Amino acid sequence: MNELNYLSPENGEFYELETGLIAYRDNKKDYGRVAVLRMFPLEYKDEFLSVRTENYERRDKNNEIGIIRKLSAFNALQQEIVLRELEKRYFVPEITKVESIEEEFANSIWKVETTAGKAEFTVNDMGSNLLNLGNNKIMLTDVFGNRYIIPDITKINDKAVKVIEIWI
Amino acid sequence: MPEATAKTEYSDALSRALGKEEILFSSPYDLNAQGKYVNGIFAVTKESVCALEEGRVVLILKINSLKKVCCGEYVGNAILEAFTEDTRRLLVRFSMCHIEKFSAAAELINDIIEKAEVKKYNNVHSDEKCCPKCGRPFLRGTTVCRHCSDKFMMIKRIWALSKSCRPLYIALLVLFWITSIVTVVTPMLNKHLVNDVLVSKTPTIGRLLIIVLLMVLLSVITTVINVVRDIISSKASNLLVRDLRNDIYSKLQKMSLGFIEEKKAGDLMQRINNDTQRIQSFVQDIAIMAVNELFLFLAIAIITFTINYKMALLIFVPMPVSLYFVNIIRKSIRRRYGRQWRKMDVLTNRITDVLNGIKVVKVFGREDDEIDRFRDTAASVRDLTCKNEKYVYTVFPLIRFLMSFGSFLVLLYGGFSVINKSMSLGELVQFSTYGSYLYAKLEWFSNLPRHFMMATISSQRVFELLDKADEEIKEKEEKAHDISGKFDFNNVTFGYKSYRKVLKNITSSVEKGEMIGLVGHSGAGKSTMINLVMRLYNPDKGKILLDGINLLEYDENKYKASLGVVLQESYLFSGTILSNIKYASPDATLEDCIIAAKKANAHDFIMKLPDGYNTYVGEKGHKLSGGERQRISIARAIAANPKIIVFDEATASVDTETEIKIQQALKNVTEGKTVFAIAHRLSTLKNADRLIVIDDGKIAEEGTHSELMKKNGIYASLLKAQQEMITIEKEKKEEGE
Repeated sequence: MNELNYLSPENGEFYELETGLIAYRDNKKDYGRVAVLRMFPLEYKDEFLSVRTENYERRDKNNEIGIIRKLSAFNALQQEIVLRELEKRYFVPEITKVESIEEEFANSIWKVETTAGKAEFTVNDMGSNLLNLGNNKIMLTDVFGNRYIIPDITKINDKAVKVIEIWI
Repeated sequence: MPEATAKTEYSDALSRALGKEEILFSSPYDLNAQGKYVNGIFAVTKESVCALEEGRVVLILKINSLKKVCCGEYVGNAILEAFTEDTRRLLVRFSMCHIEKFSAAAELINDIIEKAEVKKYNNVHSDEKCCPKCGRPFLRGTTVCRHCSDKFMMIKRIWALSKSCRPLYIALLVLFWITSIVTVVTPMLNKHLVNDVLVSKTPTIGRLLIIVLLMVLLSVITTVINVVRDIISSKASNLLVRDLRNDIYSKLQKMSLGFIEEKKAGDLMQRINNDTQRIQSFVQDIAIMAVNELFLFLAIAIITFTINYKMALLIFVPMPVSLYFVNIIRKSIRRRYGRQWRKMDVLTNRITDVLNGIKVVKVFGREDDEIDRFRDTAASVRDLTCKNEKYVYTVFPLIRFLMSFGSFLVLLYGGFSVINKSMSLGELVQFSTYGSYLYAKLEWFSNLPRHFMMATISSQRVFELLDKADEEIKEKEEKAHDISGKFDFNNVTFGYKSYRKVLKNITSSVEKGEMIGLVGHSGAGKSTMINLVMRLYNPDKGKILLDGINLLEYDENKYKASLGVVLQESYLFSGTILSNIKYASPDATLEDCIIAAKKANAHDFIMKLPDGYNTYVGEKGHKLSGGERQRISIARAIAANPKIIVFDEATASVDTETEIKIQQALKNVTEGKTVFAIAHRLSTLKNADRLIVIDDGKIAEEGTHSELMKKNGIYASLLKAQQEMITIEKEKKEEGE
């Protein structure tokens, strides 16, 4: 199928399973638990979302049910359900304060406050694990693959800026 | 939080929640369902799963109410999800640090559900990225924890390694000491030159000559010693590096492919080349120098205090302050140049990128945009370079000023003393020279921790490799069994990462002399299966039996000698066709090689080449076509007359005529041998005795070509799809003609 199948509030609805997981049904079928993926995760948070069946056993069988062009087209409850699912799938806490950065050769150990709470993580090889997203926005990936966003580097302390400016 | 602490902290709460049930698995986790960091602990017993957050029970479920548990990998976090009769529910959520443990937990719970044999989770993972002692991440590319590793242990090991060079090092040290003595004596001569000749009331030419001659003599001694020292030094350096590199390289060859692939070729090359070099330069240039510099520093310090302790104090008191500022400036210079180097890197990458893709740039007419992008990057490099140079030109004099600040104080105080006649001018000259020496030594020492740390890391990386090799070699207790070629796969499970299984419970038998075709979608696990057959990796669970004996019990060399392999990429080593055919069987006679080439349908094309079997194939065999390379690699595989043959997509990317030749070659060589073949074109496998269709890591279908066609399942649909593709291609060709 080469055409884009947009999902709209008219042809289907998201609902929550009693266990808190997201599910989707349309006029024809109830798909049960689904996955909602961002097509442009670094650019759009609530636009261009791909809704797919989720099968852990057979990832190659996860088919696309359709695309949400703009989540805002759905009602508040539906938006909330989808956003909650997206927050679960994309866990990228925003760094609100850098307490310290300890540099040790290829490693840098960050102690920070984030939107998800206090965290300590290690980034190695900043050259490949620091991504400049433009507009002073930075994404760091730690040794385990966890991601952290600095929404505006001009708003964090100078010492931290000095450490990362080499890589920007 | 380190695991050990977390476990003790919550063990009471856990035992309250779970009663006397034996805990089979427990691990901390760090996210609650709402995506906030928490101190959580998850535990599994034979009856229940339980989760505590901040000491409170947030989940307790009976395992018999669950159908299955899966570990889902998301972006920046992962979840453990349970399937019950009618719905699915989230068990726990955690950041990526815990995924390996929780995928093991999922396996454990599923084993309990399926009533399979369960083992207590031992908390050890080969691909763990954290120190099991303190929970901190390892240094990049190593399993070395910067906090728990004994730094002095490394120095001791380096010292032990340098055994063969020790006499040379001692000679170096002695020579260093002689030059140090010359260094200490020279300012004394300066003093006499000033006091007894230049400002003396009764100067004599004789005295001047003696002092100048002594100075010349010292200078000659220093020059000679320096030459001898450099010769010894280069000899010592080559000895140590050679020994170390040989040791690493020979051990590396014997290690499992899993370890080598995990480390990447670049990283291993770095260890063999750069890390050994760094260890050597540390031992030779830093460690020996450090002993010498310390000796010299102490000697000069004692002399200065003996001459005039007040003036000596003037040198020492401002030292910490000067060094502090110098250090700050040095850091800032390093940071600025780091940035410049990064920008240069971006510029170089831009050029390489565009030059490699110049055809694409030209075809899409993007030349002007590329010029603009390059101009912008080049301009930013230029601006940064100018700024940095300006900075360096300004701060270097400042550094020099700071470093000589003590000498100004000495000059001031000394000047007063000379005017007051309490000190001679010669003594002042001698003193200031010593002062500058002390500052220079101190600056050298301030760099020592960095060198020390770098050498420690390098040696850790080198020793990790050596130790790992010892460990792998020690583990094997192999026997030289005779091989006939019957394979049994018993519940074989394997994944390159512990939480992503590629093969799941493969059970099948392959008779001696049988040709097995492995079929499946790309990524289904075909290549992985033959990787296990080739013993490049070992199963995580289950066994592969060869003639009834576990494959791991065979002597590896003997097993590999009975294996003929034609890989997807027919890699030829730089050398002649003959040396490539003989690669796997160096004892093969010329006749053996010709027979092998004939069987592989390679003989005729080889004979068309002016140099025949002595044709130089070039790097990676680039002077030959893909089909030719493949036939030589088939000849290489069969020259040793193997019992087992492995073909991996041997007929990919060649034209039909060549494919027919290769197929003939395969037919020639597979008779009476156990063959595992993966072919890009399914038609190649029509002659196989049996086909095994692998789908998503499991055996989906098994049987002959006609049996599977009748079944009309995955194989039939794959073959149909491929035939349709071939028809379309043919039609296109005909239209074109």
